[in-house]
Amino acid sequence: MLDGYISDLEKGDVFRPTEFEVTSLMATQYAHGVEQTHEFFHSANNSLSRQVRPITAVHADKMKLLDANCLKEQRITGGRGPDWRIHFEHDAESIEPVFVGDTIRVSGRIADRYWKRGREYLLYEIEVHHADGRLLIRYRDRTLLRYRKNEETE
Amino acid sequence: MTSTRSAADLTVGDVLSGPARLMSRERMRWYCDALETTALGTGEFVIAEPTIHSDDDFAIANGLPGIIADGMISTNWISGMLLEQFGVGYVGGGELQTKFIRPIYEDEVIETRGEVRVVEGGERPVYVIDVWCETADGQKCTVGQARIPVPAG
Amino acid sequence: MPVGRYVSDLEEGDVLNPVTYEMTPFIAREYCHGVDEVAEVFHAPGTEISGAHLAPPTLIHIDKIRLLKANCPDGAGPDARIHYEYHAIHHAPVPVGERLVASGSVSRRYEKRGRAYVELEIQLRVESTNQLLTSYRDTSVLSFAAKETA
Repeated sequence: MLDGYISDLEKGDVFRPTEFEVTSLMATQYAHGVEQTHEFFHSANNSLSRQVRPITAVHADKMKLLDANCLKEQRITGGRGPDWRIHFEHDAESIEPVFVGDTIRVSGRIADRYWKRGREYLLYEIEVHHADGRLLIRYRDRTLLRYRKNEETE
Repeated sequence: MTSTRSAADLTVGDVLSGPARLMSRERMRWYCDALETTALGTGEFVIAEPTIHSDDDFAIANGLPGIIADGMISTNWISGMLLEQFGVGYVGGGELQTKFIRPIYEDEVIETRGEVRVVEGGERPVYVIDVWCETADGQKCTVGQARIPVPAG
Repeated sequence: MPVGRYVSDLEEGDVLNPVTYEMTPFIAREYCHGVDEVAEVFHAPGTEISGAHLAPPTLIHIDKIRLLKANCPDGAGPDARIHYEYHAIHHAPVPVGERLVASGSVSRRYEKRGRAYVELEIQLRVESTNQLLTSYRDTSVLSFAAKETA
């Protein structure tokens, strides 16, 4: 179910897409946070002549998507849900670079929600397209809804 | 990237180089915050107050055309180039002097360079290396000299 | 007792009250993060370079800031200060975890082309042994805008 907490999401839910322009601040600040000092991520002074957003910043796209679709738990603006999620798997396929100045459209769905060894997981399938329609990133993300085990389902 | 020669085998005229980097507004701010945070040193993260390195109005009120980079950013880029070439021998026994002869403005591409000027002999041989940072069109901004013990070969 | 209210009050011969502190991992790491320095020797112990966790030599600049904050509590003065020269001699690596003493004095104050300059001589030592780790000379311009001189 959309518009509630992240833990309300169900298999088959399709997110409302979010669209935004990738700014230099987004690219450089993300890269700074993870010590990616390669100039690709900080300026256009590189072999591609354009500033590139780190591929791994697709994780922040997931956060934006959740903020737009889980209105009771908007983490970016400080919202909290009943449980703290734990990231379990990041699987990003970069089709084309995301450049600063690109307007991108992030879409996705909940591909699965399941229990395993007493813990509940969400599987996201997310795509990032350029505003002109080109697919830039295909991203699968697996997350535990909460760390605490549910003994009954183990 | 530094010289392809090992630190023990440099000769006069050998050139060192670091990556070309954009002096972005963000890099200037990161240093301001790092300076205040580390000067406080309590473990608390500090967002620096406006300075000539982070606030255009403040810089203009101080007679500058806009924000300029703290000279320690380019000094640290030079220091990083020397560390990469010479390792801990530079940290534990070297010397670095820099002068900030031209402001570095926002969005200038800055390259870090060095050139071995002299290899002093004697019991403890020392490299004397001219070091500098320059803009993409070759204007030197930060200039100085490093003295670094020649590592045992 | 502060030496000057503002940094611009400092005069040649002023001796700054020393500052003692512990060089923590946090200080070394945050400084490096602020200047894109990712060399692991400054982030953690036991690296292949030295076996120890070291502070970057350029952190001596922060000792100047510590000394000025402690001795001139009201800040720069009427104008923003501009750093003009950095000159550090590394006598020994600065180990993380050590208690250090930064001391210094105003070695020169002079005018050149309408601008006032202050030159500081700073030493960084190990508190327990008095071992000199770094000598540092720093020159700053007290005001970027040149004053009209008669």
